[in-house]
Amino acid sequence: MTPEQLERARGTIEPRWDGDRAARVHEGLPERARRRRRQRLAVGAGAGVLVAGLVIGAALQLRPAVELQDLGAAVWSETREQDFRVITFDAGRLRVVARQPVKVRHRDVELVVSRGVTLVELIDGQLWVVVEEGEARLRGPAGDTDLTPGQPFAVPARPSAPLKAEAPGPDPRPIEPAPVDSAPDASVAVDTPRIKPPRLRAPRPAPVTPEPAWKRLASEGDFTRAWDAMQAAPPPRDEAAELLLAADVARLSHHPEAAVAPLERVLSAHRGDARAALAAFTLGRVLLDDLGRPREALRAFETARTLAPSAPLAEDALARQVEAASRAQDPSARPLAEQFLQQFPESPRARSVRHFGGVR
Amino acid sequence: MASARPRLVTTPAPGDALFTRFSPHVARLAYRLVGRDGDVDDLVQDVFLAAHESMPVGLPDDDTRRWLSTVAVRLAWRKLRRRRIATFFGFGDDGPDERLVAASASPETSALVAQLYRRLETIPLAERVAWTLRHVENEPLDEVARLCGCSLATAKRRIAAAQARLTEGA
Repeated sequence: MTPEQLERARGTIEPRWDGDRAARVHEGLPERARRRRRQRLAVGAGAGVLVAGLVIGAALQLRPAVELQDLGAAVWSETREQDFRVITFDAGRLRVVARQPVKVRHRDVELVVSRGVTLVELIDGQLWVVVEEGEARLRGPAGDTDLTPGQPFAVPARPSAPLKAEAPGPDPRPIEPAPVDSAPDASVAVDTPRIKPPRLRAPRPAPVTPEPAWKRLASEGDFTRAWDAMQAAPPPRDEAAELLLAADVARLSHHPEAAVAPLERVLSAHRGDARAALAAFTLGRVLLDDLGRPREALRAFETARTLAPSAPLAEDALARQVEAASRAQDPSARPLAEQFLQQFPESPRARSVRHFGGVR
Repeated sequence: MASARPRLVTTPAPGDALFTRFSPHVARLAYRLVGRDGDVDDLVQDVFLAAHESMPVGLPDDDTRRWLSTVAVRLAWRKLRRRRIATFFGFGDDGPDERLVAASASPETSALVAQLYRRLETIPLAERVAWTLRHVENEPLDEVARLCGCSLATAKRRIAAAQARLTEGA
């Protein structure tokens, strides 16, 4: 989206907010206020229970514990110090942040978190565990299982059933990491064991593949480090999103030659993907601007226009196609330029198209 | 004759004047930040409940607007973060609204904006919020920094980083 396009579009990005809706939202304020007060009371009660428990525990020299009735679970510290935090979300999820080993017990299964951040979630009666950072081990009647970071494990309902991991599934969108040292979000309750979560609307979560470090670094904008990390990682999976991301890492860390293969793969194996046109356009730019291969860029821009003839990028793709044809000394430069000027007479690219196309 | 809906006096709500005057602004800001109409009502309510609880009394209009904007940005940021976590575990929704623009906007504009918000879904939240405040909400840089709770230099860096991601392939 060009700055001019954004300038025109800005004023149109509006919600449907009229008098009726405003009145309805305003009328709902008291009920929302009551709901929030009830949640705060629950937080306060839970904190009070926790404080009482800690006081009693300290008096009896027991290890601190947090009992999570809604999850049917409890958390113990392995040491006398309460060197962990349990953060409950509002949808049956809790996050255990531990500097020393802690145990989470659910029925007859015990989760030992050595250190780091673990997410425990109850979905329709099924307990799921995902290690976000650090190490954790599930200890059950069927034996011990070391948990792979990022991979969800289903804790069985029957104690005698073996623990199992889910097979890798579609790549999730990157999420911001949860640093161990971060203060708790004001929206979640810290150390509040008795909050009844609202009914979950979704079924069991989709299996998640472990996220390589290069993807996380790329999502944070650190492409140089992402490139370094990518060299030590397995090749990107054969999925459009991951291939495009790998291409971005290569380009934006100044390794354009390494962007060609993943982009070409998107076009050969994922041509039906909605982002294929973008891949073709990006390939064209890399070939023309970074690698000085205008004839190949010409084909890539043509592909972008073929895949998405009505998309906003079609205008830019045609303009760049004219430039690529000109640089390749291909005779199609002029007719393409004339086509562009006929289709987009008011385009800000008209001047450069005239130049490259040799059209006055 | 239909009777008016009784107002529950035991739970005070923000005054009508404040809500009437500023809810359109808060709704628009929330909408532009989160990209989903379904999230706007809750965010607006939360902002005005916060105003009722803790906004100083007697602020001039400009300061009132800035105060409400600050809270709206914070709550929208929280909403966006929760959404990303939910998506990570397969609870994600279908993405931003397909039509984010007013009915009078052209189909091309609608498509461009929809594409923009799909791209915004993929960039880091801090960059997304800063960029949206700057380029969609058209806030000056120092105001963007204030709303994001960061330095001016950091705000500029985030906006530039977001811009770089968004213009790649545009």
